[in-house]
Amino acid sequence: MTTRTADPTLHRRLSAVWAPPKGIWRFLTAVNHRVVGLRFMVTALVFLLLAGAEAVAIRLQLAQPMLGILSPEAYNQAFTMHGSTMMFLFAVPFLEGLAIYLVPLMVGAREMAFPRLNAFGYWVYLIAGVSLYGAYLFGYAPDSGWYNYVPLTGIGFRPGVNIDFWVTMITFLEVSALVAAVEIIVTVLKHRAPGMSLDRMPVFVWAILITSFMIVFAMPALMLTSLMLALDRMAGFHFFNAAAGGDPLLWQHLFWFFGHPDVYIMLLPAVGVVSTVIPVFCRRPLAGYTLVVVSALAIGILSFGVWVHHMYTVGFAFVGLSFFAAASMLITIPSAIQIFAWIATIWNGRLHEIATPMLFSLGFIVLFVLGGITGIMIAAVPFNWQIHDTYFIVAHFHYVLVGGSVFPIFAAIYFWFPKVVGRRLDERLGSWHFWLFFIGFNVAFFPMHIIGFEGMPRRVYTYLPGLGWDGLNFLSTVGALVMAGGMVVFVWNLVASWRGGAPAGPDPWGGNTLEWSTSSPPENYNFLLVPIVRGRNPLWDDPSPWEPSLETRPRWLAELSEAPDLRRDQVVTSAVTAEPEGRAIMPRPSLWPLWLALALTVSFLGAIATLYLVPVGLALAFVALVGWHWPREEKLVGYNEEEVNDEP
Amino acid sequence: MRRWAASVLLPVSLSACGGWQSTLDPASPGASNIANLWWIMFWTTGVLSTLVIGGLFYAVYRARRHARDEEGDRVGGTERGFILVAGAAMPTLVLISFIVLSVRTGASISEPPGEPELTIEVIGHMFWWEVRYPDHDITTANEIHIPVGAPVDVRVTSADVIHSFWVPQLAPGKVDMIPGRTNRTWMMAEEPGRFRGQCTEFCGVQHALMSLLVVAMPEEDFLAWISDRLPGTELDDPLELRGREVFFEAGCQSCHTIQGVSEPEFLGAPGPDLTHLAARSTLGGLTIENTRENLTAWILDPHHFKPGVRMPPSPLSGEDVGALVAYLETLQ
Amino acid sequence: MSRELLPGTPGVPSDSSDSLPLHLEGTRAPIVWGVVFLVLIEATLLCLWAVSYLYLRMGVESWPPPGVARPGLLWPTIGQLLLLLSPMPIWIALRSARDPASDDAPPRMIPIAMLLASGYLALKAWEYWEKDYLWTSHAYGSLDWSMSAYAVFHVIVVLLAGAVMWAFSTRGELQERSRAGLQALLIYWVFVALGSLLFFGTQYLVPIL
Repeated sequence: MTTRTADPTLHRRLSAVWAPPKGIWRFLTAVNHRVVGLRFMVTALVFLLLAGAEAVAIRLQLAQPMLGILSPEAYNQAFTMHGSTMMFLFAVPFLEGLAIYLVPLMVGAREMAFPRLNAFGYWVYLIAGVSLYGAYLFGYAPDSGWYNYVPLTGIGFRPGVNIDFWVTMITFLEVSALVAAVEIIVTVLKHRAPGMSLDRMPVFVWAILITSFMIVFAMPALMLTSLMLALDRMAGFHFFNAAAGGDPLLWQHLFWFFGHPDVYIMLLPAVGVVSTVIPVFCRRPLAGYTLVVVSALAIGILSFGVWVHHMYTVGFAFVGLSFFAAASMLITIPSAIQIFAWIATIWNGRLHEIATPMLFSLGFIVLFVLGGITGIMIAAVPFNWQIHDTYFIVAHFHYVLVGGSVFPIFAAIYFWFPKVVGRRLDERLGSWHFWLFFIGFNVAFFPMHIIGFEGMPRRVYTYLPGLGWDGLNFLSTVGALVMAGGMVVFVWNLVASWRGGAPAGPDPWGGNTLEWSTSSPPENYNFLLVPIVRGRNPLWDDPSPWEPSLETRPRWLAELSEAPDLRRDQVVTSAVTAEPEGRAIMPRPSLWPLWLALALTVSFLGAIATLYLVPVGLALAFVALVGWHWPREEKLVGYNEEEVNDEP
Repeated sequence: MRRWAASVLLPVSLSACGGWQSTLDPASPGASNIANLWWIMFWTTGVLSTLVIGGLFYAVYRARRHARDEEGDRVGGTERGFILVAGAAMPTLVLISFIVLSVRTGASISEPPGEPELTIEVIGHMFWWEVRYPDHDITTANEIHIPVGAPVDVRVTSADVIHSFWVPQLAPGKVDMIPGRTNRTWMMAEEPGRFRGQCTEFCGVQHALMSLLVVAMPEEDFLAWISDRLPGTELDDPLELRGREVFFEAGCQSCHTIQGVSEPEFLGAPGPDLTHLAARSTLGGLTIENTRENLTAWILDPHHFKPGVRMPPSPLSGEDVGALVAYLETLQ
Repeated sequence: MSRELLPGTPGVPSDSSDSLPLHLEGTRAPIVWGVVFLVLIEATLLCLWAVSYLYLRMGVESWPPPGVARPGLLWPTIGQLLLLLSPMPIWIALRSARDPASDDAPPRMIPIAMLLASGYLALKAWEYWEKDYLWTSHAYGSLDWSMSAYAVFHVIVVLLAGAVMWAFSTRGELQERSRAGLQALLIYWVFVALGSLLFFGTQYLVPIL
């Protein structure tokens, strides 16, 4: 029902209406969610490799005491860029890209709610990332940690443009994250296929929806505080200057009010991936769907009440800290509920094969449990006083973030690569990738718990011998190199399978969500017919979402599938029950998103040189916004049905 | 490894074993209580996480068997019950006990076990520690001497960026040193010994080698150490007298104070106070041992040992630097 | 076929030969939802800014700092009232003409709204021209100037948006299309007015409390 053979005329018309532009214009003006989503993911993977290279350099420098592989300056840039890249340029953008690619497919839509905003978000992300790395290339990379504490990053202690690049480009990046969040929310709430009420929504979409709400409430804190720092540095403001009535702790409060939710912003979508992968491989619906969704919601809300646990050592009264300790520990409960929901799903499931996505999901659960229990420990205030800012923390958050976010991202790549590319990734290379990465990870990071107990602080470019840290640091470096080997296998697998992998067919895993009903890769229009959802697992439910057929559908429903005016029609449904409310016309390719992104680049990047460029960029942005909103037909012109019909 | 490292690094003999900055080798009630809390949490969560991961593996084994026998998929209300009991009830019990333990431990170490008689002020600088004994009018750097068996009141702040004061074996954890604020903590050593501390808040290019030595000594030794710290030794050796002139000529006093010697307008200079330099066992915050050769090399080029340190290299002639070192070695 | 998809249930055309509506407004229009979430982002930012103001205020004894006069209330209050009133004409325009085809209310009403908001701008400019401290003077000055600048920037943004919308409406573009665009403008305008009210309360009332 969904392939081009089902209704060739309809296929040709929809394909032409929804086609991305060709040639160089495709690159500059495409707005289709799959194009943009894929761009996000590929770009994020490039940044992952760069961050991995930085990690290897860091580990080589720390392999033995007093090595001189990296100078202190180079080391400080490397660890700052590693953290900033993994947080801002890899994990969040990759998951956004995954969501932009998958959410419309999963909810049965043809496009995101605001396709041009989508494209704009990608350009902003690309420009910010390239600018940061351009600065790195010339030695101007930020060098005071991904958390960028004042007053070390104030103009007095860190003159020069290194910190300016962090402040402006990270703020710019948040613009990208925020617009992506808004349009994901609106897509999920207004463009779900008829019948997909909220309680039928795939759990991945739930996770993405909750994450997007968290971005809406968390990222403004980072924008505000980096704006304040930019003003302090570039225009002589005093927000963080204790001598003039400001307070350096204001930075820490605002940063962690963003920073802690940000951890869960990276974790929740990843958890949604695992909740999607496990049921498919176990050939059954997810156990405790409602509990899993409510847990994700609880994590999202609780994560805003725990930021102070990054600040236990700044000298607050113990009584106040205990509240945040209790709140931090409370997050364990929803996390545990999810873990046991997965175990229950497997327990009663039928696991015919443990393919690579399942392997990474299982590895994720193991690492997430280990990272979770150290998380409970460091929420205990007295223990945190001792262990804060030591390598124990480094071990903990790598278990949570690599285990909890990167492993599920790999699961997602192995799981959905066939959908995106039409070919499967090689399973044998996939196993090698998993085992090298899993073993290497534990060899690299488990010893860091002990190194932390032995007293080694974080963010040191070297250490003296004789402190009992040497052997375990060397072991950790060996583990990092094994992980790097895993990454080489992974990249090889991606490249080789992209070019010559086994054809996947529309549904290689026997999935339950709507994306598996499209061809691989999906057609320009995603779905030939607007699906009608009758349960939580549309492809496993009966009758199928393609009933009734086009001929027997009522006029208003058939029309949604037919693009009668050669425009990009998309159904609008109600937010909760997904009852059809109307049709929306989605915009065609546009150059304005790129223009707007470049205009704002003049403001953000220009601010580093001179603040006078800020209004120039804003004026250019105004032009872009007028052009963007200029009323136009959004109609495909020059399409002749008869002519096209004659083609084979 | 850098050439100099092997020859001039602090000898390992300085510490009895490798763990002289270890959190699990506590030498004070504060650090011990935290270590105990850790061991309780470790065994509890160790058992629980083993059960969870074991359960996961068993579930995978079961599901593989189901796949062969085409069984399984008996989904029902029991799953929800299992998830709630294992995922909500069990963690709630564990967490409540952890919170109680944590609050008790925290309350017991927030204040020292007795009224401290000695107060020490520690001020963080990029990348060294200013140490003051306000009751005894002593200012030194990077090394703290304390009497054994008595709690010591420690007040910390910073002269520039945020640092963090951490002597894992003696203090109840770390406390940040924040410009414009004074934070309090306490230390107590239950036995004599040398204990290492280190800055734990990234403070710039040379954060890594910003270390601290705490020497715990018996009460009478400590009192003797205090009374030995008298500024202004009489000089009679011409070499030492020449060295004092070099101290003025080379501009050392614009950064370093020597009580009783520095001209009044230079008192409170930004670098480490040198009044008791010769009484310190290390240079550069535990980076190298305080020997004549190391001191000479340090004065000529401190960046060789501690890149990024704020002290510039001093292009002194061999004669001058010899005299200067001879003078500095009289500063007990 | 599930119950809610049958013709006759709310939201679905009763006659199966009808189409679904194309020009949506209110909670049916995705653009309105988009603007609501944009407002939510900015509202979060504003609240955090106001909290930061209170946080820095709590850290010191005297506020404003010694030697700095407390802000006057009369003219700022008048400016604030003008800004609060300014979205009203757009609301009236949306209410008065339900028939999009003959709707000439927007071209008449938008300029009135812009005039009111401009009054706020003029009063702000006059007020800050007279200030005897700058953002570089102290943290109080940094907060005061930056918060006012933020409010002013947003008023300028709605003025520009209003001007563009007015140009569209005089060309008759708005009548043909849905009124969701005008609703979105109204929502944002109301947010700018209320957001600056929050800043007004923070900047002018906290120092005299």
